[in-house]
Amino acid sequence: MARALGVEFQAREGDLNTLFCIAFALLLTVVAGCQDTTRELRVGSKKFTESVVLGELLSEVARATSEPVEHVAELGGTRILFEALRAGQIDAYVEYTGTLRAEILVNEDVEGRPRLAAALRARGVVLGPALGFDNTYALGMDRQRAQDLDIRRISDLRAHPGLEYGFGDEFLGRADGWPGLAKHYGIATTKVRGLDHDLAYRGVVGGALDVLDLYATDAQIELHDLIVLEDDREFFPSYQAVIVWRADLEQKFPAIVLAWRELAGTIDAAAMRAMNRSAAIDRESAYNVARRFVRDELGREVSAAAPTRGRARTLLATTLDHLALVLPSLFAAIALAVPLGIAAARRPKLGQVVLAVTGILQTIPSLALLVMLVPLLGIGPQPAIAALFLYSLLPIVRNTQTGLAGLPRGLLESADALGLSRSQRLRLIELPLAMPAILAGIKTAAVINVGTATLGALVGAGGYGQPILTGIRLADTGRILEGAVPAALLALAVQGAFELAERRAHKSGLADGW
Amino acid sequence: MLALEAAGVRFGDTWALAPTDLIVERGRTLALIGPSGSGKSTLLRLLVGLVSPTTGAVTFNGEPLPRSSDAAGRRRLAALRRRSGFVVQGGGLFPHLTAFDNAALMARQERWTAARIQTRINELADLLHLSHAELGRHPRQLSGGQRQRVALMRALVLDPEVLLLDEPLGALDPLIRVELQDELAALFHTLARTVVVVTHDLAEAAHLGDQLVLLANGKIEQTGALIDLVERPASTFVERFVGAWRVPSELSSKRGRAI
Repeated sequence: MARALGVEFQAREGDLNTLFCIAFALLLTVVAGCQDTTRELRVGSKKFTESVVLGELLSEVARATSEPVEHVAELGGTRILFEALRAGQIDAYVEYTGTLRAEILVNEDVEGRPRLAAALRARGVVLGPALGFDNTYALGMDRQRAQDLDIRRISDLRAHPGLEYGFGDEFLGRADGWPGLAKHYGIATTKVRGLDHDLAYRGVVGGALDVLDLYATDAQIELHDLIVLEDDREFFPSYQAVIVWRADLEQKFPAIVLAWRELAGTIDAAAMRAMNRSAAIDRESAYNVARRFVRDELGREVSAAAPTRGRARTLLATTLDHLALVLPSLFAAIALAVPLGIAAARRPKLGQVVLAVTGILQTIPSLALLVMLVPLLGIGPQPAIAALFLYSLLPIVRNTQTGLAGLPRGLLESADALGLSRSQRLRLIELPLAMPAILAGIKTAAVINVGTATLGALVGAGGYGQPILTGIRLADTGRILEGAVPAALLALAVQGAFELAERRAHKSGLADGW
Repeated sequence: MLALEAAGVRFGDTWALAPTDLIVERGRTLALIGPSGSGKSTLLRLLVGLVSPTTGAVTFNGEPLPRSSDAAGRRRLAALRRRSGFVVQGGGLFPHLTAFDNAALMARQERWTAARIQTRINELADLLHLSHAELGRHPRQLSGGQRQRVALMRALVLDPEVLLLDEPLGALDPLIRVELQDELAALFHTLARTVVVVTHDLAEAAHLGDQLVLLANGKIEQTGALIDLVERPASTFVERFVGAWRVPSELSSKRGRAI
């Protein structure tokens, strides 16, 4: 590599641009090479339990048509899923009508199902059947207490001004939360407290609170035997669960589309709550919960084949996944950032531009960067590798530049006076002398990389982030540590390995002696 | 073999070296002397193209020195520099290389065989009194005098036509300095090469150089043997500069040698 760098060093400005282009093209080729072109049907899901269960459910129903199906579980959010759907990285997932209106089709008039369907169709997405439940905001009460007071509907609350209310902060603040609700129903009370959701459940169970906000399909509703008050004046917006899929699926997998259409209205709120409870509280795997529902409640046959994703993975597999994110991005970053650092040291004006650009890249929040990369690179390891690559540039460029610029002038003049060419000087003198600084930059990049790569799970890249996401979703600290501890250990190991290498570099006289 | 033809170097408004004519004859040892800031280092660096003349020209065997502003010029300049051995102030040894690797650096770049390199290094190590063990060390493990010897080996390895030394004994303590002065004088005699050596020490200049060039404020004040400077100073500056160094015992011995 040193030789190649030397050649580059003599290159003029134009050639330098060419070099950047080649490096980027190379990275994209590598990244694209990881993408498989012919692939099975893919179902996506978001990083909360209900979505994962429904993803398994869609997959299981599709498998009954004898097509192989992959479930890409626990992706980072609505935008990532929707972009992946449009880009053809996934073929279907379960979304909520309210979310589509509020997050995807913002500022569009999409009242009513026909308009919503048309707006999605314009984006190459089909609005499939509603599954039968509406996961909107709701108010809940202890079942016994509600029966004692004879409260079944939200409008019944007006007759009981002495009730204690406890709401989450978001619900308290949103226009479609408590302020709007109180006005809509004409509920006048001052006994409203803002508090954490888990505490609110405990308050209701213990009798300190009477009414709390919840999502209509919360697993806790079943667990604590609460009742959901009927929204008899239709205040809350609709968050119907609907299947959305790519328009091209109707030709490619007509049997699957048909099977999914038959799911219309088959899952009511109680059924969804029961499944959420099994998965979130009883810690049953989402796969088993979904299979049992398909077999027992839908009366359909279930496939014998095991799913390709979504099950607990071994530590080794997770580690390999993680390294598959960290190593390619780091090596690609070294390949580009070291020449960039050399160019920056050689031409201070160019250097300022390079450092500014790589510095700006560094400030982009990782989730935002991932969301931007998904339309270009799809989901899976590719966008994560690309993001890590971009984050790794700054420390390496900066350290290479400062390492080279800080070399004593006398030594460089000595090299010139001996008759070394510029490329020889770079290869034999400057790079070896700047090596401790360059290594330190690579170390910084590598350690940051190991930590940031855990976010790769948000775009389906796997790695240590996967158990962390699952752990957060299930409030399972053990599962979180399954990802967090090896990630921390790997970061420490990387740090240690580089420090050893640096010490070696120092020992052989690279760092001092002048 | 080296010549300045009205060559001058200007940094901004200041002439580091006013336009100057100077001829360095083959086989002679020229000592550039003067107070700091007098332009002696600039003159030396001008001779190998480490600085380019603002006006005039520098010639090497009658050929003008190529400019370093384009790639072709840099290549030709690098080739010329391999024919001259330059030792920067302090020696400029590369700290990441052993003494041997420092000395062998340019021979390797010329793709000499390992055997040829070994022979040449042995030869130079004998000449400069360096042991095999010392050659295996890194510069920071060597004494100041040893480092200076290694720097000389490195400059001499390709058997250059001319040797250019910038304050070769500048950083050494007095005892070693005197010892090395004698060695250097003997070395120049043995090599019978063209040598230009920069020093601020009149005694040292007289000890090492056949001819002295006294500079002040970027101008040559006087050229000649020590005796000329002492007995026929061209200016009051020369008189004062020489006068400051006139230590009877020193002068008498040097005067004899210089004549």
